[in-house]
Amino acid sequence: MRLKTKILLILVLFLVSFNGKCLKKIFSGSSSSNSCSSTCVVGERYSIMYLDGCSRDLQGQSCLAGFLNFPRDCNGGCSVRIVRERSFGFFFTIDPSGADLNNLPSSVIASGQGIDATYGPPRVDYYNGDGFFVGTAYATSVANDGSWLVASLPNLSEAYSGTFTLQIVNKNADGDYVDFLGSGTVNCWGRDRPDSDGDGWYDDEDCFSLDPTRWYCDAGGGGEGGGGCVNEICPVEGPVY
Amino acid sequence: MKSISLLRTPRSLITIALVILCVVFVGIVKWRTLAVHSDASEAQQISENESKRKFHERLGRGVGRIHLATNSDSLEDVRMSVNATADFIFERSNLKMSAETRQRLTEAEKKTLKGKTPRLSLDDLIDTLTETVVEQAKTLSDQEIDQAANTFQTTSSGEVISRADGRWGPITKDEFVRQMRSARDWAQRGEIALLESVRPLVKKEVDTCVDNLSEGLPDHFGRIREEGVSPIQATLIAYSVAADDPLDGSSSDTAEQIVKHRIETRQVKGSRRGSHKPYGSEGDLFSSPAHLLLDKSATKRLLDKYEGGKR
Repeated sequence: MRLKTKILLILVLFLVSFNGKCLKKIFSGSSSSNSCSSTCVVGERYSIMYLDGCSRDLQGQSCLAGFLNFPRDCNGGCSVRIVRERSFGFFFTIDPSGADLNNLPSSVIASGQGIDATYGPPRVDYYNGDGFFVGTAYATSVANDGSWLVASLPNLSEAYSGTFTLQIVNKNADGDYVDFLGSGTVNCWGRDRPDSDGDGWYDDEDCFSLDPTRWYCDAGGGGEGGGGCVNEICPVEGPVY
Repeated sequence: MKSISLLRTPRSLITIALVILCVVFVGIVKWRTLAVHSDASEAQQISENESKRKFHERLGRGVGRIHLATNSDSLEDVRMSVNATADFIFERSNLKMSAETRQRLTEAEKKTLKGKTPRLSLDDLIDTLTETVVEQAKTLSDQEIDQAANTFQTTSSGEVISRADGRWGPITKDEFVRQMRSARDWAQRGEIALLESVRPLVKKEVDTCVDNLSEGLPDHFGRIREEGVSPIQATLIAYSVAADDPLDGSSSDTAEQIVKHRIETRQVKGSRRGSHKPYGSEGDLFSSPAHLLLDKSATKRLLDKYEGGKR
Protein backbone atom coordinates (compact mmCIF):
# COMPACT_ATOMS: atom_id res chain seq x y z
CA MET A 1 0.00 0.00 0.00
CA ARG A 2 1.33 3.41 -0.89
CA LEU A 3 2.25 5.78 1.92
CA LYS A 4 -0.32 8.36 0.77
CA THR A 5 -3.08 5.75 0.86
CA LYS A 6 -1.99 4.61 4.31
CA ILE A 7 -2.08 8.14 5.69
CA LEU A 8 -5.47 8.80 4.10
CA LEU A 9 -6.77 5.60 5.66
CA ILE A 10 -5.52 6.69 9.09
CA LEU A 11 -7.09 10.10 8.54
CA VAL A 12 -10.47 8.55 7.68
CA LEU A 13 -10.34 6.28 10.74
CA PHE A 14 -9.39 9.31 12.81
CA LEU A 15 -12.44 11.21 11.52
CA VAL A 16 -14.77 8.30 12.16
CA SER A 17 -13.51 7.82 15.70
CA PHE A 18 -13.97 11.49 16.53
CA ASN A 19 -17.51 11.79 15.22
CA GLY A 20 -18.89 8.40 16.11
CA LYS A 21 -21.31 8.39 19.02
CA CYS A 22 -22.14 5.14 20.68
CA LEU A 23 -25.87 5.02 21.37
CA LYS A 24 -26.43 1.34 21.35
CA LYS A 25 -24.76 -1.24 23.50
CA ILE A 26 -24.94 -4.97 23.35
CA PHE A 27 -24.46 -6.55 26.73
CA SER A 28 -23.86 -10.21 27.05
CA GLY A 29 -22.38 -12.25 29.81
CA SER A 30 -22.93 -12.91 33.43
CA SER A 31 -23.00 -10.60 36.37
CA SER A 32 -21.82 -11.38 39.86
CA SER A 33 -25.22 -10.86 41.52
CA ASN A 34 -28.61 -12.36 40.87
CA SER A 35 -29.22 -9.71 38.27
CA CYS A 36 -27.38 -8.11 35.41
CA SER A 37 -25.70 -4.75 35.46
CA SER A 38 -24.21 -2.38 32.95
CA THR A 39 -22.67 1.06 33.08
CA CYS A 40 -24.77 3.97 31.85
CA VAL A 41 -25.03 7.76 31.78
CA VAL A 42 -26.71 9.24 34.87
CA GLY A 43 -29.85 11.18 33.96
CA GLU A 44 -30.51 9.16 30.82
CA ARG A 45 -33.22 6.56 30.35
CA TYR A 46 -32.75 3.24 28.63
CA SER A 47 -34.76 0.50 27.00
CA ILE A 48 -33.59 -3.03 27.65
CA MET A 49 -34.37 -5.49 24.88
CA TYR A 50 -33.99 -9.14 25.79
CA LEU A 51 -32.57 -11.37 23.12
CA ASP A 52 -33.97 -14.65 24.49
CA GLY A 53 -37.41 -14.13 22.95
CA CYS A 54 -38.99 -14.90 26.32
CA SER A 55 -38.37 -12.08 28.80
CA ARG A 56 -40.41 -8.88 28.76
CA ASP A 57 -38.51 -5.86 27.46
CA LEU A 58 -38.12 -2.93 29.82
CA GLN A 59 -38.64 0.72 29.04
CA GLY A 60 -37.73 3.97 30.76
CA GLN A 61 -35.07 2.46 33.01
CA SER A 62 -33.21 5.16 34.92
CA CYS A 63 -29.46 5.14 35.26
CA LEU A 64 -28.73 5.10 38.99
CA ALA A 65 -25.27 6.05 40.22
CA GLY A 66 -23.87 5.16 36.80
CA PHE A 67 -25.30 1.66 36.72
CA LEU A 68 -28.26 0.06 35.07
CA ASN A 69 -29.48 -3.07 36.82
CA PHE A 70 -31.98 -5.36 35.21
CA PRO A 71 -33.31 -8.89 35.74
CA ARG A 72 -31.68 -11.90 34.16
CA ASP A 73 -33.45 -13.39 31.16
CA CYS A 74 -35.53 -16.59 31.14
CA ASN A 75 -32.34 -18.63 30.75
CA GLY A 76 -30.63 -16.95 33.68
CA GLY A 77 -28.37 -15.00 31.34
CA CYS A 78 -27.80 -11.35 30.57
CA SER A 79 -28.19 -11.33 26.80
CA VAL A 80 -29.79 -8.00 26.07
CA ARG A 81 -29.45 -4.95 23.91
CA ILE A 82 -29.40 -1.72 25.88
CA VAL A 83 -30.50 1.32 23.94
CA ARG A 84 -30.55 4.88 25.16
CA GLU A 85 -33.99 6.42 24.78
CA ARG A 86 -34.57 9.79 23.19
CA SER A 87 -37.38 12.01 24.36
CA PHE A 88 -38.53 14.94 22.24
CA GLY A 89 -41.47 16.23 24.29
CA PHE A 90 -43.59 17.26 21.27
CA PHE A 91 -47.24 18.06 21.86
CA PHE A 92 -49.79 16.09 19.82
CA THR A 93 -53.46 16.77 19.26
CA ILE A 94 -55.67 13.73 18.89
CA ASP A 95 -58.74 13.60 16.67
CA PRO A 96 -61.29 12.79 17.96
CA SER A 97 -60.45 14.50 21.23
CA GLY A 98 -63.12 12.50 23.02
CA ALA A 99 -64.74 9.10 22.60
CA ASP A 100 -67.45 6.90 24.07
CA LEU A 101 -65.85 3.67 25.32
CA ASN A 102 -68.99 1.81 24.24
CA ASN A 103 -68.79 3.18 20.72
CA LEU A 104 -65.15 3.76 19.86
CA PRO A 105 -63.95 5.12 16.52
CA SER A 106 -62.02 2.67 14.34
CA SER A 107 -58.97 4.93 14.28
CA VAL A 108 -57.52 8.17 15.61
CA ILE A 109 -55.39 10.86 14.00
CA ALA A 110 -52.45 12.19 15.98
CA SER A 111 -51.14 15.56 14.71
CA GLY A 112 -47.82 17.04 15.74
CA GLN A 113 -44.30 16.82 14.36
CA GLY A 114 -41.39 14.49 13.81
CA ILE A 115 -43.42 11.43 12.84
CA ASP A 116 -41.20 9.21 10.74
CA ALA A 117 -42.08 5.90 9.12
CA THR A 118 -38.70 5.42 7.39
CA TYR A 119 -37.76 2.37 9.45
CA GLY A 120 -41.24 1.07 10.18
CA PRO A 121 -44.65 2.26 11.29
CA PRO A 122 -44.56 4.52 14.35
CA ARG A 123 -46.06 3.02 17.49
CA VAL A 124 -48.86 4.53 19.56
CA ASP A 125 -48.95 3.47 23.23
CA TYR A 126 -52.20 3.97 25.11
CA TYR A 127 -52.25 4.79 28.85
CA ASN A 128 -55.35 5.17 31.01
CA GLY A 129 -56.16 8.11 33.28
CA ASP A 130 -54.01 6.66 36.07
CA GLY A 131 -51.04 6.36 33.73
CA PHE A 132 -51.18 2.58 33.41
CA PHE A 133 -50.35 1.02 30.05
CA VAL A 134 -53.46 -0.41 28.38
CA GLY A 135 -52.33 -1.30 24.86
CA THR A 136 -50.44 -0.50 21.71
CA ALA A 137 -51.38 0.19 18.10
CA TYR A 138 -49.27 0.98 15.04
CA ALA A 139 -49.70 3.76 12.51
CA THR A 140 -51.56 2.68 9.40
CA SER A 141 -50.64 5.83 7.50
CA VAL A 142 -48.22 8.70 8.04
CA ALA A 143 -48.00 12.16 6.44
CA ASN A 144 -44.97 12.72 4.22
CA ASP A 145 -44.04 15.82 6.20
CA GLY A 146 -44.26 13.91 9.50
CA SER A 147 -47.09 16.08 10.82
CA TRP A 148 -49.72 13.40 11.40
CA LEU A 149 -50.43 9.71 11.58
CA VAL A 150 -53.49 7.51 11.61
CA ALA A 151 -53.54 4.62 14.06
CA SER A 152 -56.03 2.00 15.10
CA LEU A 153 -57.04 1.45 18.70
CA PRO A 154 -56.02 -1.38 21.01
CA ASN A 155 -58.59 -3.47 22.89
CA LEU A 156 -60.19 -1.05 25.36
CA SER A 157 -63.08 -3.31 26.35
CA GLU A 158 -61.95 -3.35 29.99
CA ALA A 159 -60.89 0.29 30.20
CA TYR A 160 -62.71 2.81 32.36
CA SER A 161 -63.62 6.43 31.67
CA GLY A 162 -60.85 8.98 32.04
CA THR A 163 -58.26 10.99 30.15
CA PHE A 164 -56.14 8.62 28.11
CA THR A 165 -52.61 9.52 27.04
CA LEU A 166 -51.41 8.46 23.61
CA GLN A 167 -47.63 8.35 23.33
CA ILE A 168 -46.11 8.42 19.85
CA VAL A 169 -42.87 6.47 19.33
CA ASN A 170 -40.72 6.31 16.18
CA LYS A 171 -38.77 3.24 15.14
CA ASN A 172 -35.07 3.95 14.61
CA ALA A 173 -32.62 2.59 12.04
CA ASP A 174 -31.80 -0.37 14.31
CA GLY A 175 -35.44 -1.35 14.51
CA ASP A 176 -35.93 -0.16 18.11
CA TYR A 177 -38.85 1.92 19.31
CA VAL A 178 -36.82 4.30 21.46
CA ASP A 179 -37.56 7.71 19.94
CA PHE A 180 -40.34 9.01 22.17
CA LEU A 181 -41.78 11.93 20.21
CA GLY A 182 -44.40 13.13 22.67
CA SER A 183 -48.00 12.60 23.57
CA GLY A 184 -51.58 13.80 23.30
CA THR A 185 -54.75 13.04 25.22
CA VAL A 186 -58.24 11.71 24.54
CA ASN A 187 -61.10 12.05 26.97
CA CYS A 188 -62.98 8.73 27.16
CA TRP A 189 -66.37 8.32 28.79
CA GLY A 190 -69.26 5.84 29.03
CA ARG A 191 -67.81 3.26 31.42
CA ASP A 192 -67.16 4.65 34.89
CA ARG A 193 -64.98 2.75 37.31
CA PRO A 194 -67.43 1.31 39.84
CA ASP A 195 -67.52 2.52 43.43
CA SER A 196 -70.53 0.55 44.69
CA ASP A 197 -70.63 2.00 48.21
CA GLY A 198 -69.73 5.53 47.11
CA ASP A 199 -66.96 5.94 49.69
CA GLY A 200 -64.45 7.31 47.21
CA TRP A 201 -62.53 4.04 46.92
CA TYR A 202 -63.13 2.15 43.68
CA ASP A 203 -64.32 -1.45 44.00
CA ASP A 204 -61.04 -2.85 42.69
CA GLU A 205 -59.10 -1.09 45.45
CA ASP A 206 -61.68 -1.33 48.24
CA CYS A 207 -61.49 -4.21 50.70
CA PHE A 208 -65.06 -3.45 51.76
CA SER A 209 -66.63 -2.43 48.48
CA LEU A 210 -70.16 -2.54 49.90
CA ASP A 211 -69.39 -0.81 53.20
CA PRO A 212 -68.93 2.95 52.94
CA THR A 213 -67.36 3.16 56.42
CA ARG A 214 -64.42 0.90 55.69
CA TRP A 215 -62.02 0.39 52.81
CA TYR A 216 -58.66 -0.61 54.33
CA CYS A 217 -58.04 -4.36 54.30
CA ASP A 218 -56.79 -4.25 57.89
CA ALA A 219 -59.79 -2.27 59.12
CA GLY A 220 -60.96 -5.36 61.04
CA GLY A 221 -64.43 -6.09 62.35
CA GLY A 222 -65.09 -9.04 60.08
CA GLY A 223 -67.60 -8.34 57.35
CA GLU A 224 -67.07 -8.63 53.69
CA GLY A 225 -63.23 -8.41 53.71
CA GLY A 226 -61.38 -8.68 50.46
CA GLY A 227 -64.06 -6.76 48.58
CA GLY A 228 -63.37 -6.43 44.90
CA CYS A 229 -59.74 -5.48 45.24
CA VAL A 230 -56.85 -7.47 43.92
CA ASN A 231 -54.76 -8.49 46.93
CA GLU A 232 -51.47 -6.96 45.77
CA ILE A 233 -53.00 -3.52 45.45
CA CYS A 234 -55.31 -3.52 48.47
CA PRO A 235 -54.84 -0.42 50.60
CA VAL A 236 -53.82 -0.73 54.23
CA GLU A 237 -54.14 1.78 57.03
CA GLY A 238 -51.04 3.88 57.54
CA PRO A 239 -48.68 3.56 60.51
CA VAL A 240 -49.08 6.00 63.40
CA TYR A 241 -46.32 8.18 64.82
CA MET B 1 21.81 18.94 2.87
CA LYS B 2 20.66 15.40 2.19
CA SER B 3 17.60 15.85 4.38
CA ILE B 4 16.68 19.13 2.71
CA SER B 5 16.89 17.50 -0.72
CA LEU B 6 14.71 14.62 0.51
CA LEU B 7 12.06 17.11 1.56
CA ARG B 8 11.92 18.35 -2.00
CA THR B 9 10.73 15.01 -3.43
CA PRO B 10 7.02 14.99 -4.40
CA ARG B 11 6.32 11.98 -2.10
CA SER B 12 7.74 13.79 0.93
CA LEU B 13 5.79 16.94 0.12
CA ILE B 14 2.53 14.96 0.02
CA THR B 15 3.39 13.40 3.39
CA ILE B 16 4.16 16.80 4.92
CA ALA B 17 0.92 18.21 3.49
CA LEU B 18 -1.06 15.36 5.00
CA VAL B 19 0.62 15.76 8.39
CA ILE B 20 -0.16 19.50 8.36
CA LEU B 21 -3.76 18.68 7.37
CA CYS B 22 -3.95 16.27 10.26
CA VAL B 23 -2.60 18.83 12.75
CA VAL B 24 -5.01 21.49 11.47
CA PHE B 25 -7.87 19.02 11.72
CA VAL B 26 -7.01 18.12 15.32
CA GLY B 27 -6.83 21.83 16.12
CA ILE B 28 -10.25 22.47 14.60
CA VAL B 29 -11.76 19.49 16.40
CA LYS B 30 -10.31 20.64 19.74
CA TRP B 31 -11.50 24.19 19.18
CA ARG B 32 -14.96 22.98 18.19
CA THR B 33 -15.08 20.65 21.17
CA LEU B 34 -14.16 23.48 23.54
CA ALA B 35 -16.74 25.76 21.92
CA VAL B 36 -19.39 23.07 22.11
CA HIS B 37 -18.49 22.34 25.74
CA SER B 38 -18.70 26.03 26.58
CA ASP B 39 -22.13 26.28 24.91
CA ALA B 40 -23.21 23.05 26.54
CA SER B 41 -22.15 24.15 30.03
CA GLU B 42 -23.93 27.48 29.55
CA ALA B 43 -27.05 25.66 28.38
CA GLN B 44 -26.71 23.26 31.28
CA GLN B 45 -26.44 26.17 33.72
CA ILE B 46 -29.59 27.77 32.28
CA SER B 47 -31.37 24.45 32.46
CA GLU B 48 -30.22 23.90 36.08
CA ASN B 49 -31.39 27.38 37.07
CA GLU B 50 -34.73 26.76 35.39
CA SER B 51 -35.10 23.40 37.16
CA LYS B 52 -34.28 25.04 40.47
CA ARG B 53 -36.82 27.81 39.87
CA LYS B 54 -39.50 25.26 39.05
CA PHE B 55 -38.56 23.20 42.10
CA HIS B 56 -38.88 26.26 44.32
CA GLU B 57 -42.31 26.95 42.83
CA ARG B 58 -43.30 23.36 43.59
CA LEU B 59 -42.01 23.76 47.15
CA GLY B 60 -44.33 26.73 47.48
CA ARG B 61 -47.27 24.61 46.35
CA GLY B 62 -46.13 21.81 48.67
CA VAL B 63 -44.78 22.46 52.15
CA GLY B 64 -45.14 26.20 51.49
CA ARG B 65 -48.91 25.83 51.84
CA ILE B 66 -48.55 25.04 55.54
CA HIS B 67 -49.04 28.15 57.57
CA LEU B 68 -46.29 28.06 60.16
CA ALA B 69 -47.46 29.83 63.29
CA THR B 70 -45.56 32.88 64.54
CA ASN B 71 -44.91 34.10 68.09
CA SER B 72 -47.96 36.37 67.95
CA ASP B 73 -50.32 33.52 67.03
CA SER B 74 -52.75 31.98 69.50
CA LEU B 75 -52.62 28.40 70.74
CA GLU B 76 -55.47 27.62 68.36
CA ASP B 77 -53.42 28.95 65.42
CA VAL B 78 -50.51 26.77 66.51
CA ARG B 79 -52.84 23.78 66.72
CA MET B 80 -54.05 24.50 63.17
CA SER B 81 -50.45 24.68 62.06
CA VAL B 82 -49.76 21.27 63.64
CA ASN B 83 -52.89 19.79 62.05
CA ALA B 84 -51.89 21.16 58.65
CA THR B 85 -48.45 19.57 59.09
CA ALA B 86 -50.00 16.23 60.09
CA ASP B 87 -52.40 16.34 57.11
CA PHE B 88 -49.58 17.24 54.76
CA ILE B 89 -47.45 14.28 55.91
CA PHE B 90 -50.44 11.92 55.80
CA GLU B 91 -51.48 12.98 52.30
CA ARG B 92 -47.99 12.28 51.04
CA SER B 93 -47.01 9.15 52.94
CA ASN B 94 -49.96 7.55 54.74
CA LEU B 95 -48.16 8.22 58.05
CA LYS B 96 -50.70 9.27 60.66
CA MET B 97 -49.82 11.64 63.47
CA SER B 98 -51.40 10.44 66.70
CA ALA B 99 -53.55 12.70 68.88
CA GLU B 100 -50.87 12.47 71.58
CA THR B 101 -48.11 13.63 69.21
CA ARG B 102 -50.32 16.45 67.92
CA GLN B 103 -50.89 17.66 71.46
CA ARG B 104 -47.21 17.51 72.43
CA LEU B 105 -46.13 19.13 69.18
CA THR B 106 -48.63 21.95 69.69
CA GLU B 107 -47.36 22.59 73.21
CA ALA B 108 -43.71 22.39 72.19
CA GLU B 109 -44.25 24.72 69.21
CA LYS B 110 -46.10 27.26 71.33
CA LYS B 111 -43.37 27.24 74.00
CA THR B 112 -40.65 27.62 71.38
CA LEU B 113 -42.44 30.46 69.62
CA LYS B 114 -42.88 32.23 72.95
CA GLY B 115 -39.17 31.78 73.65
CA LYS B 116 -39.76 29.59 76.71
CA THR B 117 -37.76 26.75 75.15
CA PRO B 118 -34.97 27.30 72.62
CA ARG B 119 -35.07 26.23 69.00
CA LEU B 120 -33.02 23.17 68.15
CA SER B 121 -29.81 23.93 66.28
CA LEU B 122 -29.24 21.97 63.08
CA ASP B 123 -26.35 20.15 64.75
CA ASP B 124 -28.66 19.10 67.58
CA LEU B 125 -31.29 18.01 65.06
CA ILE B 126 -28.69 15.95 63.18
CA ASP B 127 -27.53 14.37 66.46
CA THR B 128 -31.10 13.54 67.44
CA LEU B 129 -31.91 12.00 64.06
CA THR B 130 -28.65 10.04 64.16
CA GLU B 131 -29.48 8.72 67.64
CA THR B 132 -32.95 7.82 66.36
CA VAL B 133 -31.52 5.80 63.47
CA VAL B 134 -29.17 3.93 65.82
CA GLU B 135 -31.84 3.39 68.51
CA GLN B 136 -34.34 2.15 65.92
CA ALA B 137 -31.70 -0.17 64.47
CA LYS B 138 -31.15 -1.62 67.94
CA THR B 139 -34.73 -2.81 68.26
CA LEU B 140 -35.32 -4.10 64.73
CA SER B 141 -36.43 -7.71 64.52
CA ASP B 142 -35.37 -9.98 61.64
CA GLN B 143 -38.91 -9.71 60.36
CA GLU B 144 -38.79 -5.89 60.37
CA ILE B 145 -35.48 -5.94 58.52
CA ASP B 146 -36.96 -8.24 55.88
CA GLN B 147 -40.00 -6.00 55.72
CA ALA B 148 -37.77 -2.94 55.25
CA ALA B 149 -35.92 -4.70 52.42
CA ASN B 150 -39.24 -5.45 50.76
CA THR B 151 -40.61 -1.96 51.30
CA PHE B 152 -37.82 0.07 49.79
CA GLN B 153 -38.14 0.93 46.13
CA THR B 154 -36.40 -1.59 43.93
CA THR B 155 -34.88 -1.57 40.48
CA SER B 156 -36.49 -3.67 37.78
CA SER B 157 -34.14 -6.46 38.86
CA GLY B 158 -35.15 -6.25 42.51
CA GLU B 159 -32.18 -4.38 44.02
CA VAL B 160 -32.99 -2.06 46.89
CA ILE B 161 -32.74 1.68 46.25
CA SER B 162 -32.55 3.40 49.60
CA ARG B 163 -32.70 6.95 48.21
CA ALA B 164 -35.02 8.11 45.45
CA ASP B 165 -32.31 9.26 43.04
CA GLY B 166 -30.23 6.16 43.73
CA ARG B 167 -27.37 8.26 45.14
CA TRP B 168 -26.42 5.52 47.58
CA GLY B 169 -26.49 3.03 44.74
CA PRO B 170 -28.66 -0.05 44.43
CA ILE B 171 -27.79 -3.10 46.54
CA THR B 172 -29.25 -6.57 46.54
CA LYS B 173 -31.89 -7.40 49.14
CA ASP B 174 -29.60 -10.04 50.65
CA GLU B 175 -26.82 -7.49 51.04
CA PHE B 176 -29.25 -4.95 52.50
CA VAL B 177 -30.50 -7.50 55.07
CA ARG B 178 -26.92 -8.48 55.92
CA GLN B 179 -25.87 -4.85 56.45
CA MET B 180 -28.95 -4.06 58.53
CA ARG B 181 -28.38 -7.07 60.76
CA SER B 182 -24.75 -6.05 61.25
CA ALA B 183 -25.87 -2.51 62.07
CA ARG B 184 -28.35 -3.89 64.60
CA ASP B 185 -25.62 -6.00 66.23
CA TRP B 186 -23.29 -2.98 66.38
CA ALA B 187 -26.07 -0.83 67.83
CA GLN B 188 -26.87 -3.42 70.48
CA ARG B 189 -23.20 -3.59 71.46
CA GLY B 190 -23.16 0.20 71.69
CA GLU B 191 -20.44 0.53 69.04
CA ILE B 192 -19.56 4.18 68.64
CA ALA B 193 -18.39 3.41 65.09
CA LEU B 194 -22.00 2.95 63.97
CA LEU B 195 -22.94 6.37 65.29
CA GLU B 196 -19.90 7.85 63.57
CA SER B 197 -20.71 6.24 60.26
CA VAL B 198 -24.42 7.13 60.34
CA ARG B 199 -23.99 10.78 61.33
CA PRO B 200 -22.36 12.02 58.08
CA LEU B 201 -25.13 10.35 56.07
CA VAL B 202 -27.85 11.97 58.18
CA LYS B 203 -26.01 15.30 58.07
CA LYS B 204 -25.87 15.23 54.28
CA GLU B 205 -29.57 14.48 54.01
CA VAL B 206 -30.51 17.19 56.51
CA ASP B 207 -28.21 19.72 54.84
CA THR B 208 -29.74 19.05 51.43
CA CYS B 209 -33.24 19.38 52.83
CA VAL B 210 -32.38 22.57 54.73
CA ASP B 211 -30.63 24.13 51.70
CA ASN B 212 -33.66 23.42 49.52
CA LEU B 213 -36.13 24.75 52.06
CA SER B 214 -34.19 27.88 52.98
CA GLU B 215 -33.55 28.75 49.32
CA GLY B 216 -37.03 27.88 48.09
CA LEU B 217 -39.07 29.20 51.00
CA PRO B 218 -37.01 31.93 52.66
CA ASP B 219 -40.05 33.28 54.54
CA HIS B 220 -40.71 29.93 56.17
CA PHE B 221 -37.24 28.45 56.51
CA GLY B 222 -34.79 31.21 55.55
CA ARG B 223 -33.15 31.63 58.97
CA ILE B 224 -33.05 28.10 60.30
CA ARG B 225 -29.29 27.80 59.84
CA GLU B 226 -28.75 30.77 62.12
CA GLU B 227 -31.71 30.48 64.47
CA GLY B 228 -32.41 26.75 64.56
CA VAL B 229 -35.65 24.91 63.95
CA SER B 230 -38.98 24.93 65.71
CA PRO B 231 -40.62 21.57 66.60
CA ILE B 232 -42.87 21.69 63.53
CA GLN B 233 -39.94 22.50 61.25
CA ALA B 234 -37.93 19.69 62.87
CA THR B 235 -40.82 17.24 62.30
CA LEU B 236 -41.08 18.23 58.65
CA ILE B 237 -37.32 17.85 58.12
CA ALA B 238 -37.28 14.51 59.96
CA TYR B 239 -40.15 13.26 57.81
CA SER B 240 -38.47 14.53 54.63
CA VAL B 241 -35.25 12.70 55.49
CA ALA B 242 -37.04 9.50 56.56
CA ALA B 243 -39.25 9.27 53.47
CA ASP B 244 -36.84 11.00 51.05
CA ASP B 245 -39.73 13.29 50.20
CA PRO B 246 -38.56 16.70 48.90
CA LEU B 247 -41.82 18.19 50.23
CA ASP B 248 -42.59 19.75 46.86
CA GLY B 249 -45.76 19.93 44.82
CA SER B 250 -49.47 20.06 45.51
CA SER B 251 -51.51 16.86 45.50
CA SER B 252 -52.37 17.45 41.84
CA ASP B 253 -48.65 17.99 41.07
CA THR B 254 -47.71 14.68 42.69
CA ALA B 255 -50.66 12.90 41.00
CA GLU B 256 -49.36 14.24 37.67
CA GLN B 257 -45.84 13.09 38.54
CA ILE B 258 -47.11 9.60 39.36
CA VAL B 259 -48.95 9.35 36.03
CA LYS B 260 -45.85 10.62 34.19
CA HIS B 261 -43.62 8.12 35.98
CA ARG B 262 -45.98 5.23 35.15
CA ILE B 263 -46.07 6.24 31.50
CA GLU B 264 -42.27 6.57 31.29
CA THR B 265 -41.80 3.10 32.71
CA ARG B 266 -44.81 1.63 30.90
CA GLN B 267 -46.31 0.27 34.12
CA VAL B 268 -49.15 -2.18 33.93
CA LYS B 269 -51.84 -2.02 36.62
CA GLY B 270 -51.18 -4.48 39.43
CA SER B 271 -47.50 -4.81 38.54
CA ARG B 272 -46.57 -3.31 41.90
CA ARG B 273 -48.32 -2.45 45.12
CA GLY B 274 -49.39 1.09 45.77
CA SER B 275 -50.50 2.97 48.86
CA HIS B 276 -52.27 5.62 46.78
CA LYS B 277 -49.75 8.06 48.23
CA PRO B 278 -46.57 9.34 46.58
CA TYR B 279 -44.16 8.52 49.45
CA GLY B 280 -43.80 6.22 52.43
CA SER B 281 -44.36 2.51 52.39
CA GLU B 282 -45.55 1.45 48.91
CA GLY B 283 -45.33 5.06 47.78
CA ASP B 284 -46.04 5.56 44.11
CA LEU B 285 -43.14 7.97 43.58
CA PHE B 286 -40.70 6.50 46.07
CA SER B 287 -41.33 3.68 48.48
CA SER B 288 -39.46 3.51 51.78
CA PRO B 289 -40.04 2.16 55.29
CA ALA B 290 -40.31 5.72 56.62
CA HIS B 291 -42.47 4.43 59.48
CA LEU B 292 -39.43 2.67 60.95
CA LEU B 293 -37.67 6.01 61.37
CA LEU B 294 -40.64 8.23 62.08
CA ASP B 295 -42.64 6.39 64.71
CA LYS B 296 -43.93 7.32 68.16
CA SER B 297 -40.61 6.75 69.90
CA ALA B 298 -38.74 8.85 67.30
CA THR B 299 -41.13 11.79 67.63
CA LYS B 300 -40.99 11.45 71.41
CA ARG B 301 -37.18 11.59 71.31
CA LEU B 302 -37.33 14.66 69.06
CA LEU B 303 -39.85 16.49 71.24
CA ASP B 304 -37.97 15.53 74.42
CA LYS B 305 -34.99 17.42 73.00
CA TYR B 306 -37.00 20.63 73.21
CA GLU B 307 -37.47 19.97 76.89
CA GLY B 308 -33.84 19.29 77.56
CA GLY B 309 -34.02 15.59 76.95
CA LYS B 310 -36.37 14.96 79.86
CA ARG B 311 -39.83 13.34 80.07
